Amino acid sequence: MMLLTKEMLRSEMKSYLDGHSPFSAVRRFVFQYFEAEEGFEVTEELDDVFEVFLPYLQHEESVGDPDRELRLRRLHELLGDTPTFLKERAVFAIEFDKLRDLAKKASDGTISNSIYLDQVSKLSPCKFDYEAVASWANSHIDDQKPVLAKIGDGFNA
Amino acid sequence: MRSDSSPDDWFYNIHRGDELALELTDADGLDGAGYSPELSQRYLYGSAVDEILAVEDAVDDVLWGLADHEGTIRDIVDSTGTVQEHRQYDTFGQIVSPANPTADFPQAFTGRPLDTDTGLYDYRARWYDPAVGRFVSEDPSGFAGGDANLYRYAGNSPLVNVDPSGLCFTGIVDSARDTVKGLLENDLLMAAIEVGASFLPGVGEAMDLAMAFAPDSTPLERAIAGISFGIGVATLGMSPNVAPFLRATKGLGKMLNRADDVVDVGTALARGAGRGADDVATGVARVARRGADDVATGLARSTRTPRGTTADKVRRFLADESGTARIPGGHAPKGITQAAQAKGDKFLKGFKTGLNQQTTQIGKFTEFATDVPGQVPGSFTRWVKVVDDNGRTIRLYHDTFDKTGKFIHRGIKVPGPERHVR
Repeated sequence: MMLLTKEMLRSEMKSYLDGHSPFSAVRRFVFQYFEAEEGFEVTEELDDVFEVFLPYLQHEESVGDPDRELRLRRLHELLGDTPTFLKERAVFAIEFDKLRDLAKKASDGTISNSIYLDQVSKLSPCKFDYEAVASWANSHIDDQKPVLAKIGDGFNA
Repeated sequence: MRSDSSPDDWFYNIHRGDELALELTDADGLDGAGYSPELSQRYLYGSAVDEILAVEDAVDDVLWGLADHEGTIRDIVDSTGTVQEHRQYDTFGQIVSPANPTADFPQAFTGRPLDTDTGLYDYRARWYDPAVGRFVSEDPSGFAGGDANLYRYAGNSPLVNVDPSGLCFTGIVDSARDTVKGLLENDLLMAAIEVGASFLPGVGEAMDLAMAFAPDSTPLERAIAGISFGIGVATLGMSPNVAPFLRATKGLGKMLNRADDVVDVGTALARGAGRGADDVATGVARVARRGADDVATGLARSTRTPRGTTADKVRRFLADESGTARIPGGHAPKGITQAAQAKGDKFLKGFKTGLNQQTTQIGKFTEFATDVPGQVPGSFTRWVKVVDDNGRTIRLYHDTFDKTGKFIHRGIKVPGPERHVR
């Protein structure tokens, strides 16, 4: 039985981001667990990340994504420093640009707060704390990338 | 069993009676990790001799063969109704177009399989060479075959005679008469009439039109009759038969008090016969959208065999597409083995967000499937694993569908190599 960890996933991401392996290696790392031929187990941390990352990878594999490297760079960074709020961090990293746009629209009144939260909640099919993610997005309206110091460990951002 | 130009690949053919039923491929061959063939092709036949209906490959893509009055495959369409290949033959069965057929559909002239390596047709008792229009060996039944020339094919009249056994030829009208006789003996009067009429130039098509315009026809029957007519036009070549065809349609039209409509439509369709394949493709696609049952009924009618034979076979075959009987088995359900269940449990356990988890037993195989919601609301990916009684994975793939339910991608892990299909 092989145990897959969050750090192993980050290592695969790093290898891709440094140009040492193709993107498909990251995808394969995730899919191998769900195909379950070799008796893999995952840590609770990685399980949380997979809930968000698997739907994205399915989508990317089927229709492509020109921003996948950027998303992976953000995800790699946000998963690195803490074991908490991993699902929320994964959503925030993968959908950062869309979240920032939504936050701007909510901020200038183009959309109501309830619509804003509803839109945020639909950014991943898994259950996650979308209010936390929305609050992080509110603090990043003028930023070009996620700022670790603004995220913290959840609601205190 | 044979190997192709790649010494590593070995192919195994499994026959049901004298029909090729399954093909398996062992990518490792004899040099690999052992005997490990994977299902690569399976075939669906109708009730008549050499009536090949469809071929399904390892990734569930299905090709349907549209045959003419001798069973010769003229057009090959996929499940969406798109024509993948239109074949033209010379009188003796040599494929003249396309120069290099690419559709993976080995059955060709009179529904017999063509060995592309040798260019010969397998006529059971003998090989037939279409390039010279004769068998490559003498008739093993000797003069009992009814021909003084022991090498001659179908009495040198390949347009009206067939020789599926390679031992003696019969006329297609004789075949029709025998079929009609058999149906009548079984009190299948309407089927007998349809079969008999289908061998008379134009009359079968006229009957289709009559069905299409009959006041008591259901919309389904009208659609089926239209497709049956389209197939007749495309594959039989209506132009020499336009006059008797029009007379027949007019006569039937009068009976229905819809003569003008029938003749007008018949004339338009006969003129449009040149479009052939496109018409058939459109018709097939239209019916395909109506679902498996409608297609099954339509094919049963278009092949002019009694319901309950071809129809049931087609339904079973199409049911395979919907995942209820994906692999042919012929084995009665006997419960899922522990090894299979353990493999399935392990597979399904990984999907925390999986919906619609399903376990379906198919003979000695068990299919485990679950839907994972996609990044875009409404989209989803279906993960499927099929294992045998021993827990060995036979198929492993995932299909992604967009929010409208349209298939957009398949990732295949088993059988290898890993690949993607769009």
